[in-house]
Amino acid sequence: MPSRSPGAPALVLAACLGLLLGSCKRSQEAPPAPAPGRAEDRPVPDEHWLEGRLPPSVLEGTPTSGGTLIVRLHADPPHLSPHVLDPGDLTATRLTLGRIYEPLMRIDASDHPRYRLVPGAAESYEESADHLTYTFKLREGMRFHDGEPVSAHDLVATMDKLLDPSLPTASARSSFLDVQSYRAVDDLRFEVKLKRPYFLFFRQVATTLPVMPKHLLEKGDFRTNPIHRAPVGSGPWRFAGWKSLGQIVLERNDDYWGRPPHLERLVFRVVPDHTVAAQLFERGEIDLMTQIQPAQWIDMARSPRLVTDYHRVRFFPKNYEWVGWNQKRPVFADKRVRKAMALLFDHETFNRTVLHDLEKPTTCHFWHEGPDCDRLLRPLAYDPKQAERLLEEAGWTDGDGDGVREKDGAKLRFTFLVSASSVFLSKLTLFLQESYRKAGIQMDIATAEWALFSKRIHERDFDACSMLWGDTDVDSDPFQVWHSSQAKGGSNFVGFENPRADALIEQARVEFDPERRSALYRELGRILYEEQPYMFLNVRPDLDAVHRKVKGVRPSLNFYNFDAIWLDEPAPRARQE
Amino acid sequence: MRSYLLKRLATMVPTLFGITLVTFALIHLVPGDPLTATSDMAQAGQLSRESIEAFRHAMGLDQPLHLRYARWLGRVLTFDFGVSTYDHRPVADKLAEALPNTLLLSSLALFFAYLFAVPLGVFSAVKRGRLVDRLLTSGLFVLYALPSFWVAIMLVLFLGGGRYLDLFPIQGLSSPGLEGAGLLARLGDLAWHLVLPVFCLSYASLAWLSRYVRSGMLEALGQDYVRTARAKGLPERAVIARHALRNALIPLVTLLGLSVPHLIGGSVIVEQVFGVPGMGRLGFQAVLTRDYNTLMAVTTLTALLTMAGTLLSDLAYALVDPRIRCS
Repeated sequence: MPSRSPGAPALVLAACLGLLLGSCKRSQEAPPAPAPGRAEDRPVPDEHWLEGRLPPSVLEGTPTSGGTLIVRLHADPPHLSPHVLDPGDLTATRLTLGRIYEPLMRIDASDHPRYRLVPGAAESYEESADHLTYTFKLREGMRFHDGEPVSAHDLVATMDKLLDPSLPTASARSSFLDVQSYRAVDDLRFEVKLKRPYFLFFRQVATTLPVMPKHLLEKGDFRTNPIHRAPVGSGPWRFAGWKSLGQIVLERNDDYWGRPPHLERLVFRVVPDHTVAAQLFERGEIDLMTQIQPAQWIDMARSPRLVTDYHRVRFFPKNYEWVGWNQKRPVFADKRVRKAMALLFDHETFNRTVLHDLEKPTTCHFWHEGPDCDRLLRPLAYDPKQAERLLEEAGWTDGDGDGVREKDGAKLRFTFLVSASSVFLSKLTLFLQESYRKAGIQMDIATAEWALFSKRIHERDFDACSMLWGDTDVDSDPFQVWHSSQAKGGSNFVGFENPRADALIEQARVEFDPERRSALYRELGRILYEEQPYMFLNVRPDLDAVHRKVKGVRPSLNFYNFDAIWLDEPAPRARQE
Repeated sequence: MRSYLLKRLATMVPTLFGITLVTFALIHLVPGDPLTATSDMAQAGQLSRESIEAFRHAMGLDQPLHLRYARWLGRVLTFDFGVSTYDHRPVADKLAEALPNTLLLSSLALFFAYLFAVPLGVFSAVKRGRLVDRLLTSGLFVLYALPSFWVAIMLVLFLGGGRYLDLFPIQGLSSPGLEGAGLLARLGDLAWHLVLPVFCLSYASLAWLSRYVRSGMLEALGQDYVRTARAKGLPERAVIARHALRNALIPLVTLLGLSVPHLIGGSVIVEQVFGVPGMGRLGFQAVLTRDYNTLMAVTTLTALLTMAGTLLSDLAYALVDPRIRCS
């Protein structure tokens, strides 16, 4: 990884953080009307609690062994196979990859924000000079949870399944399209050859290919193989049970090659309804509460018990919300119009009043704390005057005085397509509609449930839409989203086409020097900022809370570091008999 | 009677065929397919054309609709509902998991609704026009008007611990950690977990059922045979219970038959809030994920039971009302 020059960007980052935290306090410290006479009893949340940062003391102390951690999950995953089975499910991946299934290399959860790799199932690897051949050397003596030894043949079997086009493994297959061949050199060495060099391949194969047991994988029909519901891996946690809509239980694997986890057991409790989850959390039935809704997050300050017993965790993962303008539509073909759309949106007011300043504005496609982002690109400031100038320059004027601009007889009117289940979007679209109405732009809102929404986006049958891109690793390839070849069929839904951007993206794909690649991506970022194919919005935080007895805990890009967590008071609780 | 039964059973076959055909066509007409409905945008954008084709082929989605229907019908006749396109589990397993929960919840709800509706309706009819009748009427009307999602959330907030009363468990049908406990303890735990969801499922039907009983009673009380019964000097209690009530209950038999689909349809909201894996959630999730096999299984089962319910209530008519003959 490159070391950035410590000058300007760091300063800008600090300033931006200060701004954020300052405004955050404003909205949250407004004390909820205290019950008369009881105001003194109410514990005052400290700085860390208010900001949702874990205090350094969480990492202090000597780990003790044992105990159960209860974690809330929002939904049952469809299966427990990481990436391997469609639909590729984030929850399934989070619960299994690096926990039940050991990847070749592990992403170091404690290395925020760089997330360098540390050895996993492979103790070492070799990369050929032409970046076409990778050979991983597995540790000796590793065993699956059923006692069978781990060998390179297991990786070959896993790869066989992933690349078999007759199996429902399409979402996993897309990461391995460049694979030319793979084989077990001997029992411990696994070799992959590529058709063409690709910078991201090493991280992809090293961190997402699970070591699945050949002897179970090849038994019977792959689709209905019991391993998808009762996984058997070689990782630090072994699968111990899954009751549909109840809980998924993992237990410490004492035979793990490395240091086994401190905790005895991990219980993921599925609570689909957010209100009910908050209620169970208040009853003390959940140690690590996840997916707290913004209103509940703010309301937590009213409960003395939640203030004294829990840490709040506001963690910014790798994601960003965006509004995309379909450039194939005449209205949005002109970049002046797209820029005007962004200038008409009072981002700051929206974040403060609607989002309680919980989210973080961004202008970057990449990992917002990494070197691929140019931190000098600030979100466009609200400037309706300049927006109107741009619209007039582009030829959109209100000649007939009906309050809507027109050009060559066509009205400045578009439809914002929204997937129906999103609360965030229902708020955003109303806010935008009002902002644009004032500037003579008529915005209609159409909602569709997810399957239909997804179909219309893929068929490019929309004017404007909003989504969130998210990822669980720091490095990613912008090819799918921004290369012109992806305007048909890929994820370049808005039809962004720019020769210089194409060149940068292609160059970066074969640039193995991280520093030079980051420079290419920063230039791409500047083009996106200038062209405004998206109106970049915010990084959306994970809002969680963790009991104060839970030590060693850290949020990371790929959920929490369960291996390092220990409990300060492992005394068994009454309800666990 | 026997020929009537056979005739009714025979007409069920084409009806069921028609229902499945229409449902099959309808759910395949809805835009989207299992792949676009379940993958997120980034994944979907990365899928190559070949991957999509391969998926559609593996799921049999590349066949013409009539062939798919014929194949589905052939499988169902051997009680094979296929494999879910969402989580790749046999649909029969998913049904076997969800159906008992839903049956338990809704049969209890139905039982309690009738248990309270009949006396309330009778009482209301006997006290017709008095203050207590009017209070009861408005009270039940309010109850009927309350949406169950709101009631469920209010119950969770105020009776489910946290900042207010901690009276009832609010999630699932059993407490974690009780797996090894004795049968009695587990039954008690189950009953405790059932209180809130069963209440949510029954309060609204209690309201309208008792209205039916009331109007049935009022009609019966105005009949000549009631006057006759009173005239021959029977005590009022016997007039109401033996002469009026039995006649007033006939419409309830129809309603009972019609409640059968609700019995297995389940309730999406109540199941979602109280975390009960039942038929409502199963069907709802199947719609969202375009899980055709599961959806077809749920609708076929519901259609079948609806028809069985209507048949049963028609037969029950003949039992409770000697004036009706099945022929």
